[in-house]
Amino acid sequence: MTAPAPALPPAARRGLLARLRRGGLAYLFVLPTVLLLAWYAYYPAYIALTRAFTDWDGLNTPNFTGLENFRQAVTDPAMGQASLNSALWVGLGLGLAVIPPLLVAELIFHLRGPRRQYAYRTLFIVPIVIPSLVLLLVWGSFYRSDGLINQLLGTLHLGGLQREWLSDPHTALLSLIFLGFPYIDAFNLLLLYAGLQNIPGEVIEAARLDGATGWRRIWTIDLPLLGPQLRLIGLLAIIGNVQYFISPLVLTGGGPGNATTVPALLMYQTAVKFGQYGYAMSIAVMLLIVVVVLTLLSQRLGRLSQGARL
Amino acid sequence: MKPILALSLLLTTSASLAAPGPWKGTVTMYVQDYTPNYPGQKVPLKAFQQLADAYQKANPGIQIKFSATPVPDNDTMVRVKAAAGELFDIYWAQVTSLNSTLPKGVATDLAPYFKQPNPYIPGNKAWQDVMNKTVLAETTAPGGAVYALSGDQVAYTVFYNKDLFKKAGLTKEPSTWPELLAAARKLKAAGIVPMHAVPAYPWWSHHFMTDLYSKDYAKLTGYDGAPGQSPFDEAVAIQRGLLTPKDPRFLSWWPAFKQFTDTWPKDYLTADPAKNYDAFQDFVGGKEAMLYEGSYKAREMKDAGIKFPIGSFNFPQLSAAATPGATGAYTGNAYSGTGSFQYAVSTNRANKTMTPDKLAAVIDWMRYFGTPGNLQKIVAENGSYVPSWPGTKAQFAANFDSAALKQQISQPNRAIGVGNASPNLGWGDMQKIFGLYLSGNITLDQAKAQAQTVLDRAAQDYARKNKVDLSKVK
Amino acid sequence: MSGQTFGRTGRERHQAERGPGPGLGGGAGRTLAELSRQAVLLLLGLLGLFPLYFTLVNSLKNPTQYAANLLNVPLELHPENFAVAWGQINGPMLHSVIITGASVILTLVLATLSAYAFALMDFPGRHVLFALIFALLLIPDFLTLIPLYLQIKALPLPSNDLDLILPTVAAGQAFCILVLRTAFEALPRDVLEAARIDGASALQTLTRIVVPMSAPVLVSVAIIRLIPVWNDYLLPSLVLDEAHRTLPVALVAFQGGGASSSAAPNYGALMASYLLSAVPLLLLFSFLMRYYIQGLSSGAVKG
Repeated sequence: MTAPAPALPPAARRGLLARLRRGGLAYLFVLPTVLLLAWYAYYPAYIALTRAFTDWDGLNTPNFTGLENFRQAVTDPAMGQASLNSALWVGLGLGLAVIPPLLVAELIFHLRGPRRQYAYRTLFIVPIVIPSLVLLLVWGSFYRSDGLINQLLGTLHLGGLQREWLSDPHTALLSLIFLGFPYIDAFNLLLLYAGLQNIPGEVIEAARLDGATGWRRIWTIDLPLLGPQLRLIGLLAIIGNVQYFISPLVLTGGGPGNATTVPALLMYQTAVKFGQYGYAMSIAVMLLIVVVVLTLLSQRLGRLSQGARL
Repeated sequence: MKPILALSLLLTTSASLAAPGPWKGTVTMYVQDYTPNYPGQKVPLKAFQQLADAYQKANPGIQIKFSATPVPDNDTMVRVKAAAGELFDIYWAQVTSLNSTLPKGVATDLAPYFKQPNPYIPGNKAWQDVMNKTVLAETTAPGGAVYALSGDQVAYTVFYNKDLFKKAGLTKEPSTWPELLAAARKLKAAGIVPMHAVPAYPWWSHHFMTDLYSKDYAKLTGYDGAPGQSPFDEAVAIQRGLLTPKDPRFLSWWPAFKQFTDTWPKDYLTADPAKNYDAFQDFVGGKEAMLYEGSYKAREMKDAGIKFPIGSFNFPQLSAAATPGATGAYTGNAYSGTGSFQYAVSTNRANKTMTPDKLAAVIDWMRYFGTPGNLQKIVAENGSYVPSWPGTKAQFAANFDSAALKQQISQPNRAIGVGNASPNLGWGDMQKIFGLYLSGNITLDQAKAQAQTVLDRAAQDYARKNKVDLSKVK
Repeated sequence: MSGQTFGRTGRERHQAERGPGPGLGGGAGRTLAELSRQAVLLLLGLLGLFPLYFTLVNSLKNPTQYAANLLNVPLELHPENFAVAWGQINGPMLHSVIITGASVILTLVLATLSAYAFALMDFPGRHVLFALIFALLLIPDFLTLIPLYLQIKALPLPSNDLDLILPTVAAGQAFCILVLRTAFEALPRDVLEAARIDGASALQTLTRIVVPMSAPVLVSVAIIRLIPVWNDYLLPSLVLDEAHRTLPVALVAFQGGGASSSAAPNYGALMASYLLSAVPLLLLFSFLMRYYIQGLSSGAVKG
């Protein structure tokens, strides 16, 4: 204690009191969430994470094995290719999460009249009522050697482009990444659209007077002002894609060979198929570190680019 | 007097043994495909419930309750429920999972009970005497424990669409490998897809390797001193270089098999065998002429309402002329899958209510339904599986010509393969290499190198996990 | 309260103008641009609806029709699939509505309170606590399934529904707090400041200003959270007893044909049940979307 309380100037004392009082209320606001999470999320996560250093099988008392799991995971012959696949997926996935919804949000936002905008927004949101497994079923059939894509290529006399999309190691990974055209994630669309609506009218007026319309407006006004939304979408896309393994699991099983294997799939298989929960947790810990690093990096980049633009 | 005395003595011992003991309460059971009165089924099964009713009547105070809750993922269900100490008293699980991937301690070792008489089988000295010895040996865990009562199997055969065969001008079922190849080519020439599925390595390799290695059958199954090929036998044979590419027989059949898959569309060649679940749709839709699958598919075909006539033929005989090194041994039944009558009993850790008294009652009920006669009843009613104990007979859903299935189960069962030394060996690691080779993505030499690596790792894995030195095995 | 101090936003401008938007050209060019925009949107939107078409046409097929062709409209229709599907799901559907509704509402209430504290209040430990909550997003749920189940079993609750609702609410917190915090931070500070000067308490500011102004985001979050809760099956299949079964659990039973066999499902009836189970979602959406629109145009922002 460098400064005893009575020595504080009255204003500062009031500030501290106010801060404490306000802080007290804030704790009250956060309390229900924290209690719930402590029981249903933190404790289970703590159990799971600390067992990355054990041979836990999900039932018996785990034995401490040190870094053995990590060593095994790093030396797994499939891990190298899986990591590269995942890096490509995260990179391209970031673009797919941002660009198509942004373009559609801009198109809708520039439509005339709220009714029309409402109608089109609804059009893009309705598909989420169908379970995502149906989407995989649909695209699995599109990619078949006798499927819609090859049929279309045949009709267009582009037979040379026909491929065994999912069973050719050269096309399988990209086929999975680019599955789901037109890639309009409903949530990202809503978020960006709401962001566009929040841009102050004067800014748009001023830009228009400056002659900034169309693409230039998007580039100079919308993108910088959508910063928070874009960062959030980017963040969620990175986290989501690092952990994603459903389409490889359902459509290719990680094959041909390891062409579509990603670390999250290896983790899922070691846990759910082989019951090696300790080992799976060690992969999870490594993915967690990767995500944290990517997150910090993207935050920093986001801030840098924003600083440069404004 | 003596025989009567002996008989009455037998009866009294039986009577004293054939009792659940002092415990009273409810025994919970999950019996997978044999679940009686499963909601939503067109013709609900009855057999297990009838047995339970009779047992309850004879033993007041004991209730048998069958779970009809759907299980999306059985191993996960077992792990989660066991961790909470509330697993079913008796539950279905794959023996391979119980022996390797499920945590130790989810199931009671049943081997001691199998050595005791089953009082519900007249004159029985040891329960295991009425079971299938090969299956029993193959399902024994590395330490000698047996975690499941196994009573049925899936028989695998080639189903075919008789209409499509006729269309291609095929009048005879292929009985040799060259005939099968010729049929596939003829179908393809007629614009018909011969087969469109994942060529599951464990399935096809068993047929070829059982033939190619038939002279070494005794050796390859005998390292553990028990009938059948156990994961231990496999690991030793890998370590010896017998079941690896170092032995010319190991991969010699791959080019021959590739000639067959070259007539298939390539979609599923590199896929995970789980995709055969989807590939089945092509057969139902009349889009492929042949389907290699398990006997349980017959029931599904019936449920799907297939209109075309279905035939079946077994894996054809090989000959040295067409497949170098072939011996011509019978391999039609070389691959068989584990079925739905595979029941484990919870330990006290997996189910907190499992006191010694309760265990005695559960075992008694298991002995009651685990007789050849009752096994026959349960399995036959469902019509999808083959009861494996001596004296039992298979009955199949009556919508196809099941002569081939009946023929193969009448033959002595001999099987050689590789894939169980480590949990992912056959269905995962070898499958990937097999798929890459068949789809033309790697050469046979590359396949040999890759296979050697995964096999060596699997054998080491087995030795490390079970703490055995494979080189010291005789 | 005086909110007039901050500038007009895009949404007000639209409301005020109603007419030509900030076009890319003038006169006929504008109409042409509007038309081409609509054409592009219509095309993309319809492509996005393809899974719905797929579900619809296949819901009218029998298994052999389904296996023969996945994309065509069947010549012979099998509407009885809907009767079969309805027989499977009519009980569980009500249950799903209750559990999903309660879970999502509670998730939003708790997340709004927390996000408000993180975004607009100052308290010691704010950043650490937020980082801790954020970190939960990084742990895949199938890895914590076993310890989570043990926690659920360890806490005796008066209703089997709550056994599922509370963990579901917990599972949604990290995502919702993250999104809502971003939204609340973007709110114009001068409005909040004005409210504070007017003597509004934190709770009043939250309920009278922050929540109405954030209606679009709240609705978006609700919709997005609704879908995975509605479709979740692994945890419900383990936690809920038969009397409390939800839709996806019933559907898994339905797909399997047997207790857990590897049998292929009756896809036609399965697709029909997907459509039927989408009906409550669509009804809810239309209701929520109306609120969404009202939130946008009611002028609540003006206080």
